[in-house]
Amino acid sequence: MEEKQNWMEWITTLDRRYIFLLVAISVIIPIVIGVILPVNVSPEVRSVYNYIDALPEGSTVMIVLDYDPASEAELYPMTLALYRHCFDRGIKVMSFTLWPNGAALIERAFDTIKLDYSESEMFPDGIRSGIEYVNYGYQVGGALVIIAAGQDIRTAFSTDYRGNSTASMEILEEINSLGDLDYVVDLAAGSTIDWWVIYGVQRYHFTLGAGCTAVSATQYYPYLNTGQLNGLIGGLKGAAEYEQLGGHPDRALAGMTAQSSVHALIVFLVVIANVFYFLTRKKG
Amino acid sequence: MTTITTAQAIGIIIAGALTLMMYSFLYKDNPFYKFGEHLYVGVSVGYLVNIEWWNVLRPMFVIPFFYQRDYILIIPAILGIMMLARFIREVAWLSRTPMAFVIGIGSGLAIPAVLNGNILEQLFSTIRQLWVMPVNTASGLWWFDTISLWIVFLGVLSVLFYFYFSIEHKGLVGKLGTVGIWFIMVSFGAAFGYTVMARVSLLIGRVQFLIYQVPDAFRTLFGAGP
Amino acid sequence: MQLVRKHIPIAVAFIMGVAMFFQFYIPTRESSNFLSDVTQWNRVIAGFALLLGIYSLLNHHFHKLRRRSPGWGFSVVVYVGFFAMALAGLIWGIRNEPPIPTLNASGQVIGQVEVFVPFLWMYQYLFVPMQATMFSILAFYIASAAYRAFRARTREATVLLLTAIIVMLGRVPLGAFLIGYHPFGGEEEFLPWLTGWILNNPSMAAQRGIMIGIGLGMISTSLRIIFGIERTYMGGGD
Repeated sequence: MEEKQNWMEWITTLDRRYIFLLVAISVIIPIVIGVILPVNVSPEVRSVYNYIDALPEGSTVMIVLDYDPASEAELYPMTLALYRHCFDRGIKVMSFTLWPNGAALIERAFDTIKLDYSESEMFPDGIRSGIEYVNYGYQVGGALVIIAAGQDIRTAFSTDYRGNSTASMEILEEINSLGDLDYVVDLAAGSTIDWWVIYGVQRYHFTLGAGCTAVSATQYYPYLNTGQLNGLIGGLKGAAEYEQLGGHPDRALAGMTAQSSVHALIVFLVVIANVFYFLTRKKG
Repeated sequence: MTTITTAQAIGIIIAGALTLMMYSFLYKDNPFYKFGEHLYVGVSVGYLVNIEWWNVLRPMFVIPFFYQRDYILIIPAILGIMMLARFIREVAWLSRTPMAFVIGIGSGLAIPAVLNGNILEQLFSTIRQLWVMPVNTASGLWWFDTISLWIVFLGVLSVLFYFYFSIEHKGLVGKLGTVGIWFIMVSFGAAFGYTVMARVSLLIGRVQFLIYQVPDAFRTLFGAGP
Repeated sequence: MQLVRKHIPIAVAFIMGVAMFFQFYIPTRESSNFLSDVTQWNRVIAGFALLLGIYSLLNHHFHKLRRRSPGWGFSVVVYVGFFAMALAGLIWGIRNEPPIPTLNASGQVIGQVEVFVPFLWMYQYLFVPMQATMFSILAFYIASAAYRAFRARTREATVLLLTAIIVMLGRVPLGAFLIGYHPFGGEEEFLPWLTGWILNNPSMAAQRGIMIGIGLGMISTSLRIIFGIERTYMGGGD
């Protein structure tokens, strides 16, 4: 009896390095096997997709990359999926970031996407900076940037990431402020979505969609419910749903099998730990 | 297999090595991890210096002030430099006025924004509709949608009562507060589930890099090439 | 001296706070121009303030080096990384250049050479992997913490635990396979449907209550700052 109790206590106080090993195995094996499972598309993600899909060719969308490499695994696949969807529909894209560490990520994302559209039907000359897309880089000031862009976009973004003046940029021909944009999507690792809603949507009345890390997803459902956000892409699962809708399966969809296996492992561990906890408590 | 250049291949291998060095911390703290951690700090500050110059000071002050002759910008520039006095004890008081300027603006902007966006809109939405007509149904059953709306109403009310500490939590107020705790537990449970998902996603990203990209890099440098 | 150190900052906070509050409700062109100018000035100030962060980080490691504190050798690594990254960007720029075409003797394009940008290379292969890896380590710790500490000791903890399990299973493809029942004859399987219902109803209600509470707190703090009751932002001293 005492031996059984010691064994149960050993299980519940297992050295955490064994847990680390189990987690590592449950991530590596599905990725090596490479099975891709289809995902259920949630209404929140479908809303963002349908809105962009309904925009006419030549529209302009602002996709804001408010994250840094710490959240790259969740939000970068979302970024690429959105860029691909916009360029597939002949929609122009503007991007910037309120996070200093994210500026070069935008440059990298556009460089990746440019290769896929170098001779596409929609863009025979490829996608060109200042014409089909523009990267404004890091913009200092947090919520003040949103207000400044809502007032006058050329004053707010006087140059792009490369140092070119925006005064007579072709992509800004019909755009004077945020209110002139056809859609804005904020991909956020922090609380910038709140700023976009209260300083952007409330003042300048544009349609706002959002993507966020799974950590912060639950706190934005109130905005979805009121309609202040028209859609929400939450975490890697949201990115996988968007990739599936857009027909460009990539990292996010590939990662969902591993996500399933780790979640199953953690649920199993928690249930086992609680079972043994109750058993040892009963005996003790 | 995507085509990668030699510089990219060398970079990927170095990145892979740094990734494994950082993960070695999971076994125990060691000099490899410390090296990676300190290198990261240095590189991140060097990165910030560049962003500060190319994306901030140059377009927002240097070009408008020196080339476009927007001389009024000297005032915010002086206020900005005064902010830096914060680190020098003898003249730290110089930073108070620019701080007050910035904080005052932020506070003034926040009041109407938060009032409209986070309070009034949210309250209106809670009470705007408490009944679903049999023809307008999202889930397939109008009575289920109506119950859901009442659950939301009860949830918002009870959570607000839970956080209201100016009166004693007894009687009806106490009961509502207890109901609020249940709603908060459901919300925190959902948040925990999502947090697990987020952290695991970050790990999946790194493992995908190690499994897909690093072998490609080795093949480019040492193998038959792509 | 009290005037400059204490009263002027309080007055500035009051004037700017009140001005920006009323600006929202005045729909004139002058009001809009005022907002644009104030926003622009504030961003220039914030631009200089960013230097504070840079100085703070370097200063900490400089003192470690000077005092030869334990582990000071790693502070050398900090400075090496800093100078390499800073100089790479300041000298060679931070933007990607288009590839340079390779021409043959008759001037025809026969290929192209990628331009190597040291700053972007270091960003992609040093900065990004290290920051991403540091945060990905949390996955291991959250699994270990869930196993060792997450116990259904009370009814409330049980509700939290059950909801977490439902969401963890409902938000991955596995959840769709576990219970095949489609509620109300809809498209979604049970666990994904239940997860969506929890997120959009009880969880959303609690988050809304928290949001309203935080909003009221923010308004209260803002009013205290504007009226000079809250002065911690000024730092210590008077």
